[in-house]
Amino acid sequence: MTLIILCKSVQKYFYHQFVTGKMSVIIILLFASISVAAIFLAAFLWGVKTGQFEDDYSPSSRILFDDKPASTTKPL
Amino acid sequence: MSSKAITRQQVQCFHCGEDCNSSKIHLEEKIFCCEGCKMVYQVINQNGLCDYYNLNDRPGVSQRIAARKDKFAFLDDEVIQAKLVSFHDDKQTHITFYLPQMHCSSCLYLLENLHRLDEGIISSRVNFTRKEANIIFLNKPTSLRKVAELLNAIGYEPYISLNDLTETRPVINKSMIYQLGVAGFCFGNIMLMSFPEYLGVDASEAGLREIFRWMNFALAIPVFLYSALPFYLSSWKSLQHKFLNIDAPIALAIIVTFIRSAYEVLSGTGGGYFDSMTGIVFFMLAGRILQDKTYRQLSFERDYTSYFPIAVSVLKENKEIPTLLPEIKAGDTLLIHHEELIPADGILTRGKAFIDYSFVTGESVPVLKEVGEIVYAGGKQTEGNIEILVVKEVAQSYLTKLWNRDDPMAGGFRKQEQAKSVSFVHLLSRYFTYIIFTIAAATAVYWGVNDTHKLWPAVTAIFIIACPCALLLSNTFTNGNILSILGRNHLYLRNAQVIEDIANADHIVFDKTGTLTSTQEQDIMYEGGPLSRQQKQRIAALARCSNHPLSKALVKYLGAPDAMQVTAFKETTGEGIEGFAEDDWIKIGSEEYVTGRKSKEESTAVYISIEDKVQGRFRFSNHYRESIPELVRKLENDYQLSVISGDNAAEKNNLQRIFGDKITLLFNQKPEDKLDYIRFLQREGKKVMMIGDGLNDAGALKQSNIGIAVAEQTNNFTPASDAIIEAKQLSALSKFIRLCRANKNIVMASFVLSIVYNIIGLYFAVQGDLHPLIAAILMPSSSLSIVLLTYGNSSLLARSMKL
Repeated sequence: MTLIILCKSVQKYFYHQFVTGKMSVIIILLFASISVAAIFLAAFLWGVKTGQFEDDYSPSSRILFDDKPASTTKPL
Repeated sequence: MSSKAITRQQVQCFHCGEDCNSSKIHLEEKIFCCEGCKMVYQVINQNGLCDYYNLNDRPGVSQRIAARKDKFAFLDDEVIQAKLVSFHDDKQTHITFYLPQMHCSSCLYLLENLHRLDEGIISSRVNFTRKEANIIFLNKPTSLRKVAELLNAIGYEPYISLNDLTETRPVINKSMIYQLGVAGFCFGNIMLMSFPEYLGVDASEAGLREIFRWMNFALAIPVFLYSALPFYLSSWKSLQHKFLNIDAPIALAIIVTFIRSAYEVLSGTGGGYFDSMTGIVFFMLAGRILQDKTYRQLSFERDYTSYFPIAVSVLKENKEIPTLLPEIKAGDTLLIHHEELIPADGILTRGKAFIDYSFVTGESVPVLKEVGEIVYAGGKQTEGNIEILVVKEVAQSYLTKLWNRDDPMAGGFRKQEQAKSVSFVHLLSRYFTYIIFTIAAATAVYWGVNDTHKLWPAVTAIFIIACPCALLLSNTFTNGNILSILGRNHLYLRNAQVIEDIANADHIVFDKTGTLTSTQEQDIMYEGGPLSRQQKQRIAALARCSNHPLSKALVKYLGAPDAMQVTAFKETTGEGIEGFAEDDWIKIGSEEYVTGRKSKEESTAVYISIEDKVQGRFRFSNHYRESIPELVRKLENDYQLSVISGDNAAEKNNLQRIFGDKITLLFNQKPEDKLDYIRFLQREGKKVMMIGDGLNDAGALKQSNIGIAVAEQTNNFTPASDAIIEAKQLSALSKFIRLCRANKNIVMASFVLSIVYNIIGLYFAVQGDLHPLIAAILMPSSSLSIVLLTYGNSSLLARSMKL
């Protein structure tokens, strides 16, 4: 329900702005910034989920090994 | 090899870095301490993995003690396999091994290149913090046993315990971190979008303001429904137990704030307090996570299963059959190999048992048992193989029973007489809640009489502004910081509540052997005719040939000799050694072995004869840790101290010298006696802190209000306890206690500060005009200042104590 009301008011606002010819760029920026933040949130959640914060020693040493061990490629 | 290295006197093994002066094992100018190390080097060299040695200097693990050939035979058993592997199909198998030897980046390198040592291994991936390796291998060319044997051959013996059989590995609960992430995201965006509300929006752009409000509302929903879940659950649980904890008023505040804010947005009367609400949820979650930080490499819940092997060899019709430990029944005959653990109480039927009970009692000198004697589970056989006839099943054995804490059927002890201690924070918040309700009721009555329009705004504002979140914040952040300070100093606590328990203790009980004394060192005194320097060196040279702990201690005491010829060396297990050191015929051993007389003495002594002439004896006694006298002096004014020991009273005078007269000394205490003594003290109203190390303290550690297990290394196995301290840090115990005591003061100080904030907020709230801007300023500033205050204070204090 909240979403519907939200959408309606956004619609109303755009319509109003359009009619009065004062199309504000703020709205676009708003959505852009939230989307970017949401991407970072998703990246964070993914990182936690795949255990990237669990072992802070091996990745930093692993990168120093000359020939990459085959194990870094995901198995079947 | 340069001449410099040789004159440096200490020649180190190229593989493991152990001293190997007299070693004659060479390969391409590289010196090894033993054949085992050389073999590992060859394996690594042949497979082009020599980066192993370039990454770190001498990274290997000593191979002096070679593992038995069919040690991993039990891994061929399909039942055992099925319990251990995480995934298995026709083609491949996934397994996670715990490899306690892993210690540096070289280990990492080698273990991730296992596929170059065995073609059947597809991949291996190391989790260094947990010292685990996930290995995927093909079933055809290799097998579980072969993989385990390969790991063992390169010096990383997989540790497979009975625990792996019964327990599924603990899944780390990450949900709170997700909740924190979501709360942080929503909080940040809501803060940003609240600016127009506070700064004022042009009347012509009222529609814009409306959109911002709706966005805030939408962003607050996930925080309200998802991120704040831990608070709802915790308060619900406490209410079910008819107990008002700190989360209850906080959950109430979150709900009230959300409903009121939602109402304001829906009715178009205001912007609500979404920023304040999401903010406190975010900060409080952060505090909780900080406080709940656990030490993944440690386990405080160990029972005997993580110490016992998964399978042992049962002798049936002269055949060794690897059998799962729980399937062993009374009447079975077990074959215990050299360096293996005795898993069940039994009667010795063959061989000479020479059992190291250091894990049980803390006493490092092995005990000799003859055929027909009873051997108790928990000891480690140190010389040769023995056979025992099982009398009691594993779980019913004398010592394992002490450890079965959650299983009263097995006769285990439980902390039954003792309610779980409750943090003072909850009690404090309870008063706080009563006061808030009183104020809210008074305000409601006042506005009910004077102006009913202001009734709801005023009452809800009180709940919003006056939730005890500051108290919770200061508590969690201080706890978290103190936990990490103590962790840095090698005192690891099970959880934050332990801090308070330590602060409240008023009686400290020490175990003697292994806790006050060191298991690794012994005091040695020589009694008898004078020995020349040369004779001493020859004795040491002979003793060097033996692996017995007393011989090792003797070598250490007399000093490592230069390379000296030892011939005709003979070791009689449990009795002594003899041989020619250069041209002296030397015998070292028990009184009977050396002098021929029957031994009557109780103390540990080693007799020496040179050219069949008895010279004298070396007396061994427990070595008290250097730091103990100083620690006692610091503690004796504030605490009652006791020492309980399973040994006889031989050390009484020594202990009295260290501890003074005020102390209670108890000797000849069996594990149950120790437990009973703790119970006795608790009945007297004492809060007991027990410091012990061995399995024989397990019951007492559990019963005491706070049990601290002492470990020489944190990787070692410790009985279940509330805290684990590294032995060398015992001297700092008094500092640790002071820090834990300060914890309460810091929390109280910041609580007072938060009350000031609350009073300011309440001043606006009771009048019914809490502007969102005031809430928005008060909330983060109070939270942040409290976090800074507590964090800074505890860190400063720790620094002043040089922790």
